[in-house]
Amino acid sequence: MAKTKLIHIAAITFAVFLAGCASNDVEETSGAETTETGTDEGLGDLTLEVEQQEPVEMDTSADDEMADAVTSEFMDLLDQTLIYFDFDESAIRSEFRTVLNAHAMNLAANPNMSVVLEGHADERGTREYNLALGERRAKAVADYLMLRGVASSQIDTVSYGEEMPLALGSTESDYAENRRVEIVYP
Amino acid sequence: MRIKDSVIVSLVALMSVIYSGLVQAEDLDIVVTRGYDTKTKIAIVPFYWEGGATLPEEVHSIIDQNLTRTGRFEALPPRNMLTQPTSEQAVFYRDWRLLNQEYLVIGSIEPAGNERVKVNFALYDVVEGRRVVAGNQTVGVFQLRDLAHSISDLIHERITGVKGIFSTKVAFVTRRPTTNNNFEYRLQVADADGQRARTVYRSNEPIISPTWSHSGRRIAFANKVGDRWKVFVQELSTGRSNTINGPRGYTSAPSFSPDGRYLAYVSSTAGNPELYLYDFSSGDSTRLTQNNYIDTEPSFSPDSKSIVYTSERGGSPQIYQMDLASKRAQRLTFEGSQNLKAQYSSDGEYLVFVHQINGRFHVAAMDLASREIRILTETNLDESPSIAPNGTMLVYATKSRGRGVLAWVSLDGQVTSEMPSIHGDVIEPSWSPYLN
Repeated sequence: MAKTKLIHIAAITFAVFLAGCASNDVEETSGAETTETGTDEGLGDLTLEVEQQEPVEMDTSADDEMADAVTSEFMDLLDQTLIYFDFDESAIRSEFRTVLNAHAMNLAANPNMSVVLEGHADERGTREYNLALGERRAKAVADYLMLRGVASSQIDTVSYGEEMPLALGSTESDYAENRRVEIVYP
Repeated sequence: MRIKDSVIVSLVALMSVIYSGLVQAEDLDIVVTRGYDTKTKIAIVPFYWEGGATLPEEVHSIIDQNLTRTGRFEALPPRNMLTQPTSEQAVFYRDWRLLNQEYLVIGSIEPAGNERVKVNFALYDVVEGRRVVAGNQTVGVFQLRDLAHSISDLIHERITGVKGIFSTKVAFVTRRPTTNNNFEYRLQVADADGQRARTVYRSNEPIISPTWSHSGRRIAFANKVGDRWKVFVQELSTGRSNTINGPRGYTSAPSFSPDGRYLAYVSSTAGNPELYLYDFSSGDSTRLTQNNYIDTEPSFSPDSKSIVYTSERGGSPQIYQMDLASKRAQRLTFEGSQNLKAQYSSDGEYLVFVHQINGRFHVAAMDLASREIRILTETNLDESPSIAPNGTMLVYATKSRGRGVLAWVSLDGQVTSEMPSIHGDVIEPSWSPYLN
């Protein structure tokens, strides 16, 4: 229950982040919700109270729907725990920023939560070099998360090198699948 | 013609390394795939056994396989022999010249009581019509394989002038799937021909980079332990080990100095993989590199005064050499998109390493004087080259039909044999020094 609430907070914060200054409506509504939630310590309690007040019921349920939609989208992003890399590279590809932003929000909103970043490489090259490369990838993701407010104490990194491939073949697509960082919530 | 042809050879230190903590023996077969175009022709007559019960080993077969595996010899099948002499009186050089043989090996084995046997053997030069060497040794019947390796070493040395490597060992890691996407990893030590593999360490997490101390008494390797990688230095006779690891990051890529004083290794505890030197006498580590790039895979020069290592400070992984006194480094490789995991030959005249060209990974050798690079292997995904102590061959890891296998190649660039796995993968081979 507590976890759900925290994810909700992160989701809404995330919505703010995504929206930026593009829409005043979303920003104000979410901002208000976030403030209320912060003070009342519970979106569920707030909803119950609001349900007793008929005139605002429609508005609140609309907000709830929206919050639920945001939460659902946010949860989908958090379900994405694989970040892929180019050969011999550790730069974060732009397509993974949204996913990493969601994880950053989640961790920043939940300071007691920790994460293990597992770095992997494909089988090409030596095992030692791939061990170093896997670590560098894990650290690239760690740096990205810390830049977005996650505390270093929340993050552990470990390299598997080329030792734990997801795809066992030796084609380019197998390799692409294996060059990754796995985000693991213990 | 030498007058004193009869040399009684003392075969010493047959069992110089006794491994403890042996868990499981497992044999791996060797398949010879290619060899030299002009091979030395040698006839190895089945050794005559005077006793009753069947012996556990066929000495002549082991010698045959050893010599054949180098790619330099072609052994005459016993069924093609006109006679099978077991003593010098029955040796007629004409018979063997008819069969175009250059050398002849004969031998006999007699019971010596208490599960012991006396093995007599002799090597003849058929072309010159003379005995090259003869000897005898009394051993336990279960030491016959060791004796066969010693005889092979002697034959190799007398014919080629180069000490044989048949009594040396090869360490490697096996990886086999267990349940639920898990693997079992074993560090194994086998005869140089892959036989009699014995497990010296096992783990459910990856083991990489085994390497021998110069004395042959210790092996260092890296093992993932939870969210860290640790370097283990294990005494083979006792199974006892010490570990080196940092509070953060990983520790791996160990390499003993030939003088026995240091262990070079890699640690990322300061944030980035850097090279360190561990001093066995003081127990202190000195940092050798400090930059934002990957530095790894250190390996000592034969004089222990410098190391070669892999660094990507120039943009891609390449081989560098560092003088340990001045800490000054110079880049050695410029050809190929990547060059990794270099090792010196025992004479220090060349390096072998992993060379990436046109997207493929091969083992290559570089002459340090001319800086010329020769590609030695034709397969792809070749890794972990390790040179035999006599410098004539190296063993490396490659992939065959989706499996990790070991392959041997001569330094002349001839693939000679492959050691397929029975199940699972065989990876990360490391050839021992001479053990006696």
